[in-house]
Amino acid sequence: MRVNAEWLLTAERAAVHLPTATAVIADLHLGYELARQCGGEAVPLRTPEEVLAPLGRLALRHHVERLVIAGDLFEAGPSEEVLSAFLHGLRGLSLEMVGIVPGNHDRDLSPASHLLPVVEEGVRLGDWRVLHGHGRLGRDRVVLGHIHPCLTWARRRTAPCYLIGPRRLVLPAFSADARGVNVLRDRRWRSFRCGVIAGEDVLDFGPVGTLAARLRRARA
Amino acid sequence: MTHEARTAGDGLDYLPLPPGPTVALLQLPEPLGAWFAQRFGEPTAAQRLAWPALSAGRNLLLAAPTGSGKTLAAFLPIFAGLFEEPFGRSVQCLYLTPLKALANDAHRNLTDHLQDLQTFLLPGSVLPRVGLRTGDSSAHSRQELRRQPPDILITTPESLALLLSHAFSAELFAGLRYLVLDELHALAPNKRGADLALSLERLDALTGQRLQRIGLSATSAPLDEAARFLVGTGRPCAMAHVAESAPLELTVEPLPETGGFLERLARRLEPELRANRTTLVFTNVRSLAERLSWALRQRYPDLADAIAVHHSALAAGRRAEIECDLKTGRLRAVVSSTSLELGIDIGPVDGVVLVHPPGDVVRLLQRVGRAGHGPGRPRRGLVLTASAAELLEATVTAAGGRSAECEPLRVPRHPLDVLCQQLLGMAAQRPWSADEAFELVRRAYPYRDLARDDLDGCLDYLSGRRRNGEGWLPARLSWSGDEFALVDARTARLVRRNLGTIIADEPRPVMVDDGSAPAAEDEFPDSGLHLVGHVDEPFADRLNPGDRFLLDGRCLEYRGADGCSLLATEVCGWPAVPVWNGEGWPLSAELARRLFLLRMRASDALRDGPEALAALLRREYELNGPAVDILVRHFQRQECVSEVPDAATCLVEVVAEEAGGGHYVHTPLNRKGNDALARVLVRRLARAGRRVAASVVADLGFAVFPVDGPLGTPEEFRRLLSADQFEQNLDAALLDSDALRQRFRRAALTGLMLLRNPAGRRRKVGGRDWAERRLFEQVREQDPAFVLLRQALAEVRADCCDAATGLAYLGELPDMQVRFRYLPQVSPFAEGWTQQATGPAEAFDSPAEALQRLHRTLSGGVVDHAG
Repeated sequence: MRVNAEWLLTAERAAVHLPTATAVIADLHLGYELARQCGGEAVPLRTPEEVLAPLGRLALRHHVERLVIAGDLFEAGPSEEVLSAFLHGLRGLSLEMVGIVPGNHDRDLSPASHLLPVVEEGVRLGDWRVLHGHGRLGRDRVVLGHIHPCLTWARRRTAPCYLIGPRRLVLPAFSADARGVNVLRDRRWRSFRCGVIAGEDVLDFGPVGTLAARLRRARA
Repeated sequence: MTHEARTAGDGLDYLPLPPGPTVALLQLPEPLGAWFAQRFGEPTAAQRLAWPALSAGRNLLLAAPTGSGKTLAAFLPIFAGLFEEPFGRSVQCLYLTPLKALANDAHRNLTDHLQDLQTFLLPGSVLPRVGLRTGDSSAHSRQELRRQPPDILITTPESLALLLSHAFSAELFAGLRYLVLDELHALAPNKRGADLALSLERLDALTGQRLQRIGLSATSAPLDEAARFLVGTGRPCAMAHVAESAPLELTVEPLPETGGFLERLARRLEPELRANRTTLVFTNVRSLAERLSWALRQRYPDLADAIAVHHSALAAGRRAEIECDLKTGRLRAVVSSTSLELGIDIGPVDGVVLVHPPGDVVRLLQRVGRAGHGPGRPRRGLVLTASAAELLEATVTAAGGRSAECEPLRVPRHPLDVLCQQLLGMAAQRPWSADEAFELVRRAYPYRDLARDDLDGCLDYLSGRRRNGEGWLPARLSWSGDEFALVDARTARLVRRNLGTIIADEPRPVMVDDGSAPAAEDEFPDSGLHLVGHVDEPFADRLNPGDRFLLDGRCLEYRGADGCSLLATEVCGWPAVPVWNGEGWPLSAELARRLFLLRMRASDALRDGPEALAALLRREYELNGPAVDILVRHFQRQECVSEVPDAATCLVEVVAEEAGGGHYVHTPLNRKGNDALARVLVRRLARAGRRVAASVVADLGFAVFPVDGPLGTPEEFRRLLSADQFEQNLDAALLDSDALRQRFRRAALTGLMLLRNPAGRRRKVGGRDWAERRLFEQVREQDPAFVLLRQALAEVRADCCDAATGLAYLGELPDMQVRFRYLPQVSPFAEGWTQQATGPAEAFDSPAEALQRLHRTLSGGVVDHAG
């Protein structure tokens, strides 16, 4: 799904800024399983390859060269183990990480600043600014994460989605671990369009404000 | 009462006729006999049966109705034993109850009895001390228990498991002689019971296997199954059954036909509320309990303060308050979902009303048994129904109740998630060898046929490895030679924090700022916020600020969330109703069969005219008035639109597309049996290239809705439901089901793979369904034979669907006629199926396919392919 001439919204949960061939992803929550293990739970860890597989597909399908991370790279701050596995995986994909904006889960990224291009004030892409979304957004046109938008229908079924407004582009969480927050339940997004990821496609479901009523009509 | 001495084998004996009162009282040493005679007069039948057996040191299962003196039947011989031998430095008697409220009740009762008894003792005599240990006990009382163990300790299964996980339990229970298990029927058929059975074996091992076990139960059948659950494998047990002597007055009545459901209900209840001193109303589900109590208060403001709602999602303090008000007669009516079924002492109740039939006979008798406590007073029960189908169901349930034909008690077969939790608890107490653990576990009745391979599978998981020895999970157990123990003290702390997680839904607390003084159990005691109760997480997630909902019979407005808690204020207005899990009550297999037979008899009678059917219903089912008319009309309509299915025919009603389409298959099975058939049918259709939009499962039938037209001929249908490969097809269908994912999440919580109370922050990003979405897939891929996955599958096979019954039915199908009837509308018998189905029907296309379809349907959507 395209937004203006600038953005391509992909099924890999990344928005590609076409003029700069840069993919923006948000909310990877790396180390989610590890954080659960630290809490005492006996869950298996995922391999970095598994986590990064969608990025590999993205690079191949959309000729992306650069990567910006819009916050929450980590679930519980930068652990050495998780970071080195991620960087190792990224090297194999020939993607250049040009910026990472700290998110509320990243805690302090300074110990890893020699390995990560941290940009506290947000990354510029054309006249858009990439932020995480947990602080003030200002009057700029902003690409953000943090919200984990998804569409829930027929009570239990959910799919991640993008939210598209004139000055805001909200990304779905890149992490498949994230449950997502139903956009129909939040009045803030009524004027936004909803681009829902369905398998290999991103489908434009139109304005969120009328979507609930349209879904009801469709069911009837 | 059982009048002859019989044996059920395996050392189980039915007790013969009870001795006379004088002889029975002679079993009690003085001054116990004199005290009893003076305070209570003659002993009841239950007491006369129990005392000789218990005085002789035998294990005993006593099944008797509420109010038959079971507590003193068990405790007087124990008091005698305690007086005879001096008290030690450890607990002498353990009294287990399934609920904290019951434990509090028991503590009060025993303490009162002992204090009263003191006046009969010689000066200077020492009374046994009674202690209480539940999840509500303070840190101080827990320490006190350890420092100075009471002679009689009253506790719950969860608190016992926690006590047993400490090394000091060996000392605490070293001198234990008696074990009393109250309300055994409420524990034996579920996982809490399996957990308790293992705890009992651990206790027994601590005491050198000389524990006298006493089980108190409501009527349960077969009695020997309950007795085996109590004593474990290979131990003798005496069994005694005292039948209910209070007359049963059961009335089944349809609600008035005009008006909305709540209005009709409130109108019908008014005379009951005004005529009775106290009325108990059971609603099956909590949401209806909330709505009904609210409607009653609105409609009858003069009674508003005397009507309360009671269910287990209410805060414990609020529940206790209601129970106390009920006992002291301050309440005229309490509307309860199921929470007042068990024997919490609630004082005299004049009438019990059941809104909707209760699903099985055991539950019917338990509820109606709450009325008319006292010799000779009748148990009065009124069952109100909202449709003809319900009326029919209530009719057979009431008939079963009158003839006391209870559903058989079924003890679950070795739940592995519970075993994992117990193994961690055992390891927290001391090191064990696998052989020693296996021997102990197999002595518990639910685990009598546990395979060694299953135990090893559990130990492998807890040691962090697959069956082939490869590591894949963090280990909780470490091994030294052939002995296992917990890896470290931190793990021990975490295990103890999470022991007792058996029911695995995660309710969210609702806090209200109502200006009243906060209770001790409140999460934020200084904030002025008051815990009112809990709602299910899926409901909580759908709330927006400003939304209104009912809880504790009050209309609350949601303000926002604070951590896990929901913050709300009380308002006036029209509310929505929270949803809680586990609300549906399907019919038992036995009742479904009886209902099917009633229909056949009714159909036969109808051939001789409506009067013959009316006479049958009046004569044999004690119905009258509008109930008879409604049922006669119901059968006439069914015969007119379709036919009444009989045992020799599998009736398939094919409904015209204009009326919604669908194939409605009538069977004599309950919902679980039909679930198995529907899953296999849908799977086979999919393999044959036919798509099914949805399936609906109900009692006495199921419906499938094929996307592209009817299913062909009866012969093709018969082939689709062949018994061949049934179990394999069912397993394959279950492996893809949402039900399995949900069960796996519960098994992961019970088996402590996931923790309800983890260390540090909760990981909220994944949400409540992370285990269903992510962990399930990962585990299935990495270790398809994982114990908790196998447990989930076994549960789905046994609980969500009844494979054995489904298969048995299909075995009969070749000898039956399959009849397709093409109908312009859904028949009266199948009308209620779609409403009866709990939860959404399982969807059969992938999320991507469903979204694509939805997108095509929605107007104004422009498909734009990204790839």
